[in-house]
Amino acid sequence: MKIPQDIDRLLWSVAEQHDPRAFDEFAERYPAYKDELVARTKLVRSLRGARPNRDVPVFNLPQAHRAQSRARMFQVFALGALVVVAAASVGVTVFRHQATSSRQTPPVSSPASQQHGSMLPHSNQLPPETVGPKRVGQSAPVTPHPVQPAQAPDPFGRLVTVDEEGAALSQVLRDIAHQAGIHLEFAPGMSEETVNVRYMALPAKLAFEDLGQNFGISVVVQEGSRALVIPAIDSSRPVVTLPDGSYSEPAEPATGSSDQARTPGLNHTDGRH
Amino acid sequence: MVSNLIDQAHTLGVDDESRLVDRAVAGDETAFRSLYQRYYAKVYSIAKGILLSAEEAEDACQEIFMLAYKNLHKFDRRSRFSTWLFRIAVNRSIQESRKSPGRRGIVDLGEEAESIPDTRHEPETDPMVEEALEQLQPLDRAVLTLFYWDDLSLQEIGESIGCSANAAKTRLFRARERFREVYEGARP
Repeated sequence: MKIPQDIDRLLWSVAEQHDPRAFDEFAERYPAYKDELVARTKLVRSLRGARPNRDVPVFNLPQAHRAQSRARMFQVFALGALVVVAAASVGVTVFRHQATSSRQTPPVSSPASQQHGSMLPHSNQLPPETVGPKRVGQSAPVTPHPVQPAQAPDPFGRLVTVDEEGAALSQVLRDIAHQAGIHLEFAPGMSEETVNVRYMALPAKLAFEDLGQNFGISVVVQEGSRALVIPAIDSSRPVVTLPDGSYSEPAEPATGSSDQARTPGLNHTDGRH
Repeated sequence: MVSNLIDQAHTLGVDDESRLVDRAVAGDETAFRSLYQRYYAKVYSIAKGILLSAEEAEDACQEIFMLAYKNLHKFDRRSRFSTWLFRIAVNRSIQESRKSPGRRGIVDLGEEAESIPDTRHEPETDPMVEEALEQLQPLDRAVLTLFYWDDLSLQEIGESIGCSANAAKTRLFRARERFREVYEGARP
């Protein structure tokens, strides 16, 4: 008996449903296919009835796989630990760097006159990372200067920090003196040059020398913390002259400052200027 | 409303399965054992339907779950874990059935006497069904098993045997016809 395709599909559908009402409806509607439906229903029931029903046995992972699994877990743990250590290391490094940076100040000095043009030389007495003074318009690289633990008892050895732009030279000198606790006096004829200065944590003596080298002034220490600024320089003597007649280490002659006024013999300690 | 609840329950089931898979991939044996408990019966049905031997099906099940455990990291989550597992079960069981196609027919007396079938857990079934199934190709047995024993949809059957839902429908139709032919031909 040839069964039409749609009836065939319906037959399987009803046979698989296990719904007595659907069975009766189909049998009533297509009585010619009732036997076929009965046969298919039996077949489906037999097939479904043959479904195995087994208790679930214990699943034993072989030792090798268990060890492999543990090794994998250990690898994951080790990798995680490594990442944590690396992150902690980076964190500590960054923190220390920030802490160090916050304690350090970039010691750059760049005094300059308003005359744009020639660059003034470095002072040898400045720390290696300190850049010599420059005239206005020239920039100096900023580099950190190590912090000194305590201020020196000698006022000229005390650290000063000056960061001024377009300030009068005399004002800069006063600021340095004020920070170092030095009483400064000025001889007549001081230049009123405007300078840009950045000294960071630099001994006052070096700051004076640096300015003296570049702007033709001498600082004569009179007694204790008193000093006299003279608007001239003796190229054979140091810029800063101590009261006992000794000199501080002379600064490197300013190769680019030959055009500046220098008056020999003006930085003696006997006051005969 | 009821369908919403059913959908919700289904979603929860899938999420739960996904979580178990995640944990198992991370090396959690307990999670894998939960998956094993959940799917053992269906995997066993597939193996039994294709191999037709309870003993072989049991061995195959251990191998299938072991394979799944070893290759869990390769599970790409494009399908459900269960479908991926059933596919392993079908392939492994068909492979196994091809290895020893005549084994069931060539059992010597000694072996037969020693291997008394363990029927403690197996309910009585129509022996003609098994005989009819034996006459079919392993893939036909697989399709019938997945449809009638594991109640998978045509889509899931397709994914399990590596074809489309339409192809699975055609395969099911043919397998059912062949089975009927053999089954009814064998009936007295």
